[in-house]
Formats: sequence, structure tokens, C-alpha cells
Amino acid sequence: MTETPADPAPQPAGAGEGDAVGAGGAAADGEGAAGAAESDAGAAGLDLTPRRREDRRGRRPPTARRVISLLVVAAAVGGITFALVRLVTDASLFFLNTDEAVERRDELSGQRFRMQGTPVAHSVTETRVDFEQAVAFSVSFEGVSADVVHVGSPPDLFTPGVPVVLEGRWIEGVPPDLDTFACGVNDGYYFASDHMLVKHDNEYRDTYPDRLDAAGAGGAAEGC
Amino acid sequence: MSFLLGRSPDRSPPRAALTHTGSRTTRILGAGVLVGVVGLGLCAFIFSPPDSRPGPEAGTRIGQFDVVRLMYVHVPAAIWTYVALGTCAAASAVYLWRRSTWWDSLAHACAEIGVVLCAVTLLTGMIWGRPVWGTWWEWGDVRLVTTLVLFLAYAGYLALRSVPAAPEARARRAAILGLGGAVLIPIVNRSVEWWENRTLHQQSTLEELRIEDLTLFTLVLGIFVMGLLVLWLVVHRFRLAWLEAEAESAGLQAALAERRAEAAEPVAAGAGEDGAGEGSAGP
Amino acid sequence: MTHAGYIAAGWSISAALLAGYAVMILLRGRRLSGKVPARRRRWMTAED
Repeated sequence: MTETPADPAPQPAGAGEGDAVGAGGAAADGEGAAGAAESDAGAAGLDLTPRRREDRRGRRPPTARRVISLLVVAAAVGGITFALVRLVTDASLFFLNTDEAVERRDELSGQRFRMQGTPVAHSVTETRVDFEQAVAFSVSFEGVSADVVHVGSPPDLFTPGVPVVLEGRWIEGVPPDLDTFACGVNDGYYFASDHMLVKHDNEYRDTYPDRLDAAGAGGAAEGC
Repeated sequence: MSFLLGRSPDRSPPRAALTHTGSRTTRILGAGVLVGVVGLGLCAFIFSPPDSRPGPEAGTRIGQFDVVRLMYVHVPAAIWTYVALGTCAAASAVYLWRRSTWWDSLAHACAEIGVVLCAVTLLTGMIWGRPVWGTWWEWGDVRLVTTLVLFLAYAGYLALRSVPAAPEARARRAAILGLGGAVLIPIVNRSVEWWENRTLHQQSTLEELRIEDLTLFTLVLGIFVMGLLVLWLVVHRFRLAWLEAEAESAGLQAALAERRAEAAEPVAAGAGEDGAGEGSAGP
Repeated sequence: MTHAGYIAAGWSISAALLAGYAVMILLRGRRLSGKVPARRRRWMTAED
């Protein structure tokens, strides 16, 4: 388009031009490098000590700028530390898939954890637990299913076929106000959940011949 | 790259009347962005369909429906965040080797644009997550939190650059951070594969090409238009960084000239508020 | 349109951020280029 200079690396006038630039750079900022400024001043016969007030009118004083910038740096470092600590310690989002949760049911007894699975077709039933709105359904992952009672209103996109992450614990027995799970496994256990998130997959096609993947398979194939 | 960022004045000296960072290249790019945004808006809101497919129960549809239209901003912003911050890291590496302001200015420009794009990615992600996942934010989610860390790292880079210091010390420090921060880019990008059970975030749609027709076209158009915008921003921001460096050294030259004048006339210099005594040490 | 509020919020926040940033760059460039002598404005093309 236009001619290209042979060397795209010219120094700005600041570097290499004029005298006492190294020390002067610091001096112009009004801070630090006082020793260097003095020694260079001696060499050039110039006073290079910073002038703070007279030529800084209308600009933020460099000390304030330094403090603000360093505060922002500190805030960024603090924010990163906080985020990483939360990520490492907040194990809440680590979830087991339904097949693992069923396999490790004994060792998970009484423990609160998160479980991922796909709600099975025709299994969703409205119910109540302690006068609270609840929804009973079954989830499936890689062919292994489990029954769930979730207390509270589910997210907008909750529907059979869309994977969810549930937080709660295994309970032995049958839920109150519900004798059997429609389309469920009814194996004497259910997962009592009080927090549900929808984990949407990466499918954006209307037709999906190869969509019978791990999470999707349960929902699509095992409905009743 | 220099054909985009501008000509060397040695070959075509700029006119004295030039008082902005624009040029013919940026005007063409800018017109492209405006036309592209209109086209993207039409594709995103009118031509492309809502996300929906048959559910496992007869007669039902599953999908994200219209909220998928946020993808056309979120995904391009995320991709260009990686590119901008990756370019910042590459330019930082070259700076450490060549020590030229050209590469320092490029790194600075790319970092600032990357931070803005990362903010767009985080905000659109939160707004998309609320209706789809049922949550604005999850602290245990590895994709979300690593993206936030990337944002904070390069926001910290920008703050570090604004700490008053000698230009070369500032550039060196920034280059080390700019280069080191790039470690985060593959971590953020691969997190959904490496820690599949620690994120609500879906895996990449484009890598597996689980997208087709107008939805795919609109997404690719979004990436293209965002790319044009990023290029436009980089050119302007690079020139601004160059002007900042020049203004800084011009201010320095002026100050030096002033001191030289003072040194030549010790009596006049004696009126200074600071260091007046040494001012009279001149010939 | 489903979720119209979220869609509008996402697009308008993005547009505002990006346009605001672009305008800020242009204004800072205009302000600074007046202060830098023409012969020092390297990397600016000559054509207007």
C-alpha cells in the first residue's frame, strides 16, 4: 500500500538525542533519580533537579499520580489473589457426573456435592416439599440415571434434554408427597437439591445427527 | 505492519496542519467497521434464527432461543482479546530484544485494547449466563475466574505503565509483565477442556463446528467486523502512544532548553523555588 | 423475542464501551498531536 521503512524501530527523540536524557527522563517526572540528575548536572553544568510546582499547574502532581497508579496495581494484584483463592477453595463448582455420583453413593453419604446430568424426557413432575414448590425428575449421564427432587424454582431454560448441575446430597428413601418418580429409577435413593444451574452445551445446530453424546444420550434415548 | 500504522516521515513529511491520528487507511477501516456493524446487526437480529432444536419430548423445542444473539458479540470479543493480548506479549518480547519505542508503543496499544475487549467479554458473558445458566457469576468456575484474572493482570499492566518513571525503565518493566501475562492466554482458552468438570462454560462451538448456516455466518461476520474495529483501534492507539512518547521527550527537551537558558543567566534562575542555589553554578 | 432485556443490555453495553473507548482515543490524539511538532509525528501518514 505504502512504502515500508527498512527498520521499523526508530528511537523516539527521547532516546539518544540531546544530553542527559537518561537522568532527565526521571527528572521530568519530578521524582527519583536525584543522584543521577545531580551527577549529570555537574557534567553538563545544568540544574536538573525537579521543579515541582511552577510548571505543573493544571496537571495532577506526579506524587498523586504515582500513588493512584500504585493503588491500582495493588488492587489488581489483590483482585487476582482473591479470585485465585476463591477458585481453589470454592470447590462448589466441581461436579461429579451422574454415573460417578451413583457409583460413589456410599462414600458420599451425607456429603453435600454437585452432580451433573441431563433431565430425562417425561420425568419432570411438579411437587411440594415442606409446603415449598419443588420439582421431581430424573437425570442421566452415560446411561446411568438417578432421581432428583429440587426445591425452589428451576432456571428459565430447565427442560428435559438440557444438562443441569445440581447441588445437594443423597437421601435414602422416598420424598414426601411422591410415591414414585415418573420415568425414574426408583432405587430407594434420591438426590435432594436446592441449587440448580443449567449447563448448556456447545450445540447450535437445528439438526444434530451426531448429538447422542454423553450428556445428551440419556435425555434423548431413555425417556419413557 | 508499518504500512498500516503509518509512513516514515523521512519519505513523506507530514503536513503541519495534521492534528489528529487519522489517515486514509484508518478512514477506510472505519468505514468498513460502520458498514460491517450495520450488516452484523441485520444478520444478528433479523436474518439469523433463534437457537432451537427438537427436544427429547415430542413437540418440544430446546435451545437458548433468542438470547443466543449475545454470542455474536461475546465470542468475537473473546477471540480478539486473545489476539490483542497475545500481540502485546509478542511486541513486549521484541521490545526486550530491540529496545525500541515502536514495539513498546505497539505493546501498550494492544494491551489497552485487549483490556477493553476482555471487559466486553466478561460483561456479555455475565449477561448471557444469567438467563442460560441461572447465575451471573460463579467463583468456582475455572473459565470465568481465569478470564477475570487475565483482565486484572493486563489492567495492572496499564496501571504499572502509568506509574511515573523514566521511559526506558517503564517500558522494560511493562514488557516483562506484558510477556509474562501471556501465560494466562492458553490457560483461559483451554480451561474448558482441561477442567471440564469445573466450569459451566460450554466447550468451543467453532472447534467442533457444532454450528451451521446463518448462525455460523453471523458469528464469522462478527469476528471479522470486530477484527476490523480492533485494527482501527490499534492503529489510532499506536499513533497516540507514539505521540505520548514524543510529547514526553519534547517536554523534556523544552525543560532542558529552559535550564540551559537559566544556567546562562544565573540571576534570573535564582528566582526558582526549588534548587535555586545550584542554578547559579553555571558559567 | 425471548430475553429481550438481556440481549439489549449485552449489545448496548458492548457498543457503549467500544464506541466510548474509540472516541476517547480520537480526542486524546487530537489534543496531543497539537503539542508535538510536525517533524516528530512519525508513523502518521501525510495524506489528509
